[in-house]
Amino acid sequence: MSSAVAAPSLTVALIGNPNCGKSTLFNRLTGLRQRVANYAGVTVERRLGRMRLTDGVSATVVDLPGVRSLAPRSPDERIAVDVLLGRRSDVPPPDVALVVLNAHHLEVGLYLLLQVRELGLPAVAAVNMADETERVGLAIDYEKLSRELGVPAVRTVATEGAGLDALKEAIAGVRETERRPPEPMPAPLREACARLRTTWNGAFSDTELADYLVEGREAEGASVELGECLEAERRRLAQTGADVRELVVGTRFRRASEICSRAVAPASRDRRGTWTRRLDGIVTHPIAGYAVFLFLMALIFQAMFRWAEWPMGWIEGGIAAAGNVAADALGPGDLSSLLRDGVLAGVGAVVVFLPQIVLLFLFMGILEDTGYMSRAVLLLDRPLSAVGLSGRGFVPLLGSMACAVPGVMATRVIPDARERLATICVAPLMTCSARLPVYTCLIGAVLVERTVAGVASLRGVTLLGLYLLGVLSALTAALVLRRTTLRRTSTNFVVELPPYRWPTWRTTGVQLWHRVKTFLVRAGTVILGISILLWFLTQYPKSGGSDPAVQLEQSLAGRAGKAIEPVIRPLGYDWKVGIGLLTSFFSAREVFVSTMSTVYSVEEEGDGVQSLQRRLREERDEATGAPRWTLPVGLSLLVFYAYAMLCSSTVVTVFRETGSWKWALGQVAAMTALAYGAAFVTYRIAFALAS
Amino acid sequence: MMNHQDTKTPRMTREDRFHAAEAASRIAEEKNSSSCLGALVVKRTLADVPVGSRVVVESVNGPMGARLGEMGLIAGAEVEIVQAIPLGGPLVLDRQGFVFALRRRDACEVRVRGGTP
Repeated sequence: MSSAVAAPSLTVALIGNPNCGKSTLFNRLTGLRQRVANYAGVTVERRLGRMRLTDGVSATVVDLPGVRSLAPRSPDERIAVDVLLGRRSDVPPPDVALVVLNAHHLEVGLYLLLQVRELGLPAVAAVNMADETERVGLAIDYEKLSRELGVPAVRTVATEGAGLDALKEAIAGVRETERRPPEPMPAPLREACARLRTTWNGAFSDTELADYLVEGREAEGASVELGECLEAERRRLAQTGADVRELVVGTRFRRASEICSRAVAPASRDRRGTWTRRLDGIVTHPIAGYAVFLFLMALIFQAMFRWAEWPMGWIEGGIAAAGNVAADALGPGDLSSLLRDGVLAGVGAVVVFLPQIVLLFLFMGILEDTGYMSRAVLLLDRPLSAVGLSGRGFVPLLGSMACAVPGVMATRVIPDARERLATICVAPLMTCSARLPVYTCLIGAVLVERTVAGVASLRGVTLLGLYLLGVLSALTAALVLRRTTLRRTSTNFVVELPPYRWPTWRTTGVQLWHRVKTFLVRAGTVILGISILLWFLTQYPKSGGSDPAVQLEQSLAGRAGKAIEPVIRPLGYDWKVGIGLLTSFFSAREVFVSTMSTVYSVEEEGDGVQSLQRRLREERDEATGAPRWTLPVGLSLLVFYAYAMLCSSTVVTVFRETGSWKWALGQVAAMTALAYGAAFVTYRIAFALAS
Repeated sequence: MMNHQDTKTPRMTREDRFHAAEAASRIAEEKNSSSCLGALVVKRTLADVPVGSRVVVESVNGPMGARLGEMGLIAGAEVEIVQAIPLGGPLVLDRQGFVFALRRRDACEVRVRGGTP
């Protein structure tokens, strides 16, 4: 953070429970002046923003992950404690903690606030969503609350920007106050903490040690050594008849309740809006709930596959037009070819999926902001826990239906590390939208359209079957993983059901923008780089002729395709398919269609895919004269594309999210083996049935 | 050597370890609390009361105890069982307007008294 004028600057740590409107407040306070990155070494998102305080002082705002407590239980919570105590080198030590409380559930938020206070950090409380509580007749006495807490408490409505000035004033004022010593804790606990400090680590505060004691050996990131120290102290406390959890968690929550009962007049009406109650009666109903869920899913898929078609067509047309303009301007030659077939094709490959991804993200954003998503998580927990995942795995798996890159990124909501890894591993098996063009092209080429069971179209049924194959394979893979490498360790499932609310364009829009941007940067840079590389591989060495098919055969890519032909022969593929597989692997699946068009010298204009399909059906084996693209070959290739990890962006994303090449490359190896095996079996069975 | 024991009990590892560590702090009469089958005895758990009941929490055990405590599920808290997701799915609880869901396995660890519909 460099600034021309050396204005006094402070650091504010923004912390709060999930669903308290913290992100909205962060956006309000900082505008869009924010930088998003990861904390070094972990995949916890680090968001920094700048805001101007009232007295001309500016502040850096650190948005900490949404947590319920500072107990050492997940990477999120550990990061929060470390940032608050100024232990991280990538974030300046905070001067003030801005604790965001949900006015509906003050006690739960106050629990976190008390913990922050115990760390000794000056704090300001933002009592957010105050308007909604006032509507149900809950009256909060802010002055009393401030007095009871010993920190300024400000009424805010982040969605409307109300209370922001008062909040900034309070922040500017509070930094003058001294750091208060933490509240005294019960004697046996204090003694245990003192002993721990001598036996293990003197740098930890009593609060932290108390929370470590509650977790014992299971504490996040605890070494074996610390675990033993903690267990010894727990045993000692247990002998005196003291319940550690009751002493730490119980005492703290009771204190929060006490403060709350003094500062808040009880609600005159039902605190949970009647609307939420009524809606939940339907949405979480044993039968109606699942019906609503299926309807919403059908709606999302309808949007992704029908409504997205038009903008996708425009984008494809636009890219092609831009390519032609470039070609006309530059004339024939390598430069225009690089621009058109390398750069523009690479950009196009990503951008063409943008409508589907924007629509999926938009729907997901709306479902999250209205509060429906936690109901879906609730409904799907039972089925998903049967395969060792949890309801939280639903969002990443749904996201993977558009693209595995955002799907894998969405696994951050899963607190359990092993469960998260398992979800990352199976997410790419879900049928992403890049498989769709390959599926449609192949199905059209090898399957003759006819009606099955009187109503359905054979091609449609096959496509549906491939989608189901993806879902079932993902679930089966999860089951296998959770029984073997990633054995289940804990249940760790609690989900809050916030009241329903209308989404605001501001919140939903900002989040949509951030998600889309992250996707474009992640996927775009990789694909662009690789498609330029791929262009070189298909263009060099030069054949000298003008026939693109001959050129491709002569190129490095063509030679590579021939080199792998013996390996893919048993699946029924020749070297031409080999080139398609290689280009798919190095960029993305949908590149298969354009590669095949080049291999078979089909002009991609007009009815591109149909002429390619016609050409594939006409292709004969050079030796026998029999058709090359038979039904067994097509089915085998469909199955291969369902299983194989033919997507470099996903590989890179998995590496970034897991922080290890072991998982990323292991996943590629496993999926390739699975694809090879399944395609081989499919080919053999189909071949035997056909002959 | 702890790890050897773990590999022999592939499921519910954390629970097992937790109970082992917790055992010392338990009094003899609480033997039943870790199993829903113990519901036949006078002690009831959250998983045993019908939907719509209001109960008072007596004690919270199990690996999720601390997390549930942070959400207000502590001894003395009054909660309503709002909904039960079918086929052994999670239970939805309402504690003074704060609505959250927990798995039935964890609900078995919450002892309750009362139970007025």
